[in-house]
Amino acid sequence: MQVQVDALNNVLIFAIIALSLNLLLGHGGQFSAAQSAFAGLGGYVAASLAVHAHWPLLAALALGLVTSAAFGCVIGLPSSLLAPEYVMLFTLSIGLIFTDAVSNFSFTGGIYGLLGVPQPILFGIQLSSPERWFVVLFVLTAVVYIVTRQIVRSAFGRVLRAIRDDEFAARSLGKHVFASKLLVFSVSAGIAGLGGALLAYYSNVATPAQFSFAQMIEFFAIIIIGGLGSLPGTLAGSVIVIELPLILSNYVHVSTTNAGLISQIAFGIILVLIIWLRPQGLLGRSSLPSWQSPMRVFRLWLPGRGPETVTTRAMGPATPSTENSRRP
Amino acid sequence: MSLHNAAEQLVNGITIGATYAVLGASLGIIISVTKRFHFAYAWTYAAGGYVTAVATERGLPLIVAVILGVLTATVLGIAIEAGIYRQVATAAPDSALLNVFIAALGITIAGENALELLWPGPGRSVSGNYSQVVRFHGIYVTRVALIATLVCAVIVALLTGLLRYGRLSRSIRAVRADPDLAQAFGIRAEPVYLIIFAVCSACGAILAIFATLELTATSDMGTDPVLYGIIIAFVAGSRSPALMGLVGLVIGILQSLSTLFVSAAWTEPAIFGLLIVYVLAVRNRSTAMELVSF
Repeated sequence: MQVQVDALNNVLIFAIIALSLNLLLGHGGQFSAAQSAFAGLGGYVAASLAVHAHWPLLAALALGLVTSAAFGCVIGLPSSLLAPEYVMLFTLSIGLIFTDAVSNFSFTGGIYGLLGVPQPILFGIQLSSPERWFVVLFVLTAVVYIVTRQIVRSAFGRVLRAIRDDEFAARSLGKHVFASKLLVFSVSAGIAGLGGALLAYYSNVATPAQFSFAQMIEFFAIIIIGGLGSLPGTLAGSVIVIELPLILSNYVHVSTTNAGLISQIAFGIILVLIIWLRPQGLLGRSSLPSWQSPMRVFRLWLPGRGPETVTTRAMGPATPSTENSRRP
Repeated sequence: MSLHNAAEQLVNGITIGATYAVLGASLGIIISVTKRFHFAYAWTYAAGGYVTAVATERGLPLIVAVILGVLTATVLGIAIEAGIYRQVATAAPDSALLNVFIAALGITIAGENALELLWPGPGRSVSGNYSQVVRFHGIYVTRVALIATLVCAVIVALLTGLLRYGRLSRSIRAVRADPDLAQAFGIRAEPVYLIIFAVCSACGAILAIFATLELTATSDMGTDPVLYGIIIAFVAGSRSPALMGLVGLVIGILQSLSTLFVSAAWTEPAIFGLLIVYVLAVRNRSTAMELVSF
């Protein structure tokens, strides 16, 4: 029972970070490979405050969120102005440099990380078991989900989608493109930071491996499996990504180490297959009428323009020389 | 800081820079010709090192193991382009850049874990002793590093020749300039892409084998090199492998000399962090047009 609740708790934490990435990429149309770094910053800030300054849970979570949001704002400043290939390069570098940095600093515990994050006390109850944590994580995930959904449904969300679909058109309608991009980058980083802080508290440790390149790919797997732009899909994607290793080790009787490796291989293959055959994700809304969908697989092999995908919609059409995204 | 120390770091920098030169040149060619953000180079790189190490562990002579390692990486490079990138790009041409990159991330994570699953353990070393040191005017350098530097110089020269001389070079340049126009003149882009992926993957495997001879092969050994290679290619902002190689060499020397002032653990992230800033500040517009030309 405790193992299942523990898995469910991890699903909730990963869902928070993945929701932040889906808000940014699925709705904001902005790519970021630095989401694990944002989560990591929140995690390390909260863990440091808990270990060194004995801050209460909510205060440490809040500062983790704010610090990550501020960092996201800094990273979002250049990212909002760059061409897509540069955003990829830049955010990927930030992710890897973050891992290098926390592995080298002594105050972050080096490669072993910050150990001994204490079990927090919330409203007089010590969160000492997965069952107690579940209530807190469920409430926080629900709050993040509702906030994200409200952002998506708000006027700001409509501006984001307008920018994602056609930045020029949005600009010509007087929308503040740069400010909107920066704001969604910052909000997304803040949510990721909250997720990272929760992960550090829940696992009683903040390590470079928790926020590494491999983790970043897991977040991508979650939103690609669930569907870019689909918030319920993100929750389903989290369940699949977290539960797969457990299913492999518990029901297929694969050793824990091999279950981890096989899961990662499966995520990689699923990522490739979905981006190739069903870019809108398993649970995402198809861009084609249902009767056309089976024909899609065959159309992929034919030359010429392919069907619209969620990434087309997310990043906007890459017209020759991507002039769209390069103009100020 | 003594003069001897500086000279030692200079030699060390040349050996590191030679590696960067090949990384920058090979990834630069892939990006400029095929327009693919080939992050899965990290996997083909690691596979080259892994297969070589495992082959020597199984008792094969080093030369056979090296050939196996290079062949593995070459075949993987071709398979990735023909079997995945091309299909993903064709499926959604408008978002090919992002889709290919996400597919590359998927390939990398699946491939790296497959290496660990096939050959478990923290890392794989080449059987035999390759730690002999050469002494030159009081400066020590490993024999492997020395040979690697010479091989890297030859590779950069060959890559430059590949893009400058002969019929194939004309095809590559035509496809790089405009694949559709090249097609109209009877030059198909697909075979050119395959050749580029094969050659550049083989180059990566050679680097990985030298790295494995000095240390060990790990499944994620290609992650940092591929990032550095892409950054070097963007910093160079040129289509010439020779210039990309030169930039890589200079970066390697700067990185090594900076250890005289900064802790060695920090030099790599610091140097590449600064290069990122440079790319964003200076190269953003010009390089995108010149190197990638999307």
